[in-house]
Amino acid sequence: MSPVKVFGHPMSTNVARVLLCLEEVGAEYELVTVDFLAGEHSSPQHVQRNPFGKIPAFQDGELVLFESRAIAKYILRKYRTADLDLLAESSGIEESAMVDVWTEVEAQQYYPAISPVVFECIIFPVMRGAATNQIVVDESLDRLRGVLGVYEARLEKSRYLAGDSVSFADLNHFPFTFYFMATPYASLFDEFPKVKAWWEGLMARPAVQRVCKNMPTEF
Amino acid sequence: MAPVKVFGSARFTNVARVLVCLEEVGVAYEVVDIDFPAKEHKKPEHLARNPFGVIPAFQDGELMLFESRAIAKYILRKYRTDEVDMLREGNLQEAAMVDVWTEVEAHQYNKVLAPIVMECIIYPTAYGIPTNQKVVDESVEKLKKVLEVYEARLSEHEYLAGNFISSADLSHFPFTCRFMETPYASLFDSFPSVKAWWEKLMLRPSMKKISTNLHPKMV
Repeated sequence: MSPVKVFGHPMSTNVARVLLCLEEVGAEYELVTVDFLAGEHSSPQHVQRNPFGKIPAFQDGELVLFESRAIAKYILRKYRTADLDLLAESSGIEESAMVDVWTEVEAQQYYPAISPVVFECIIFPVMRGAATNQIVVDESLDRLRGVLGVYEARLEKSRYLAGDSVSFADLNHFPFTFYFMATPYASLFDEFPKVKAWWEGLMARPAVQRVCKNMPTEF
Repeated sequence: MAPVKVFGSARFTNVARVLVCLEEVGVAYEVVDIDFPAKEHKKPEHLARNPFGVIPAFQDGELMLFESRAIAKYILRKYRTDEVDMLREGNLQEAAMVDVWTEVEAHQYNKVLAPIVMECIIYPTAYGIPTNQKVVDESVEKLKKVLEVYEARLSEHEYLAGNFISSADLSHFPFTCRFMETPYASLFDSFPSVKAWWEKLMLRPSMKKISTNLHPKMV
């Protein structure tokens, strides 16, 4: 079986999402660099794989996929075992529903609150030489504080977001939270001890550590 | 068996997303209105269902869920039949294509189409906030680019995930339905395959029924 291919760059949050899932399931893969700083994501070759011209794209034999969460789910299903079912699809319909709920929460509540801080403090300055828009940062931090309050309450009752076992829902939080911790606002998490402990638990996972190695913390 | 409950009025797009799925699988349900003007969504009883204080929330027996896309998946999974299989989870490749285009709806399509709906309809009628034409104009340009990708896809495949209808198609229904009430509906005329796909979807009994509740005035 030839290794699956991920097209992208290890620095990219959405590529990291996919790489983390590959590392968690122990799949053999090849990362094909797409130099997005040089505009390679807009090349005809890449647009053939991802018609929106974004990274990542993914290939497994004849199958070509895009959208990091869709790619991640394919990987987690394909490499699922009795002991490793990060979507909880074989656990039961209620368990898999909770994974879906908190996966959606990451996409619809957490990400809109945390990502502007990462974009303003890291991504825009690095990619465009743009200055940080402090108003956007401050509004986002307020919003994030509200979201983390909900997470704190959840993690008081539940060891991980979807239940007692780690799942795709937790892993989805890794990429943007990793970069958020490199901004001046990391100490926000100190206000939410259960959230902080949950994050530190994720960071301690061997698969997470392997993916972190290729993600810069200094810019 | 008690009917499942959907909390939130059928007037709202994210509630409609869930109702369309219930109609497709033919399951009995009850819609319980949440009184926004009375701030019912922020009161403890509703926060116990949806800790972010938004709608919809969903109840099936003891199970309480929130996030419309997660609820939709639960419904389509639990009530799946041989005739109505909108997630295709029995086939790894088909399930992946459903996931790809479901993610596209959330992250590419809705991101550029929803602001047009919000600015042209929701903000003026529900909040008395005037349309921000700059936001609309920018969103229309971005939507054209997205629809080009959809046109290419739908000129080769009957539905988004392949030659079968799926939750990816259904997910587009609520906001697109509202979009057709804006002055920009004719944008779809430039994308004949997309227009044909939309018109075919609107012939479905589920969509006809639920669209009658999605009307402009939100009081």
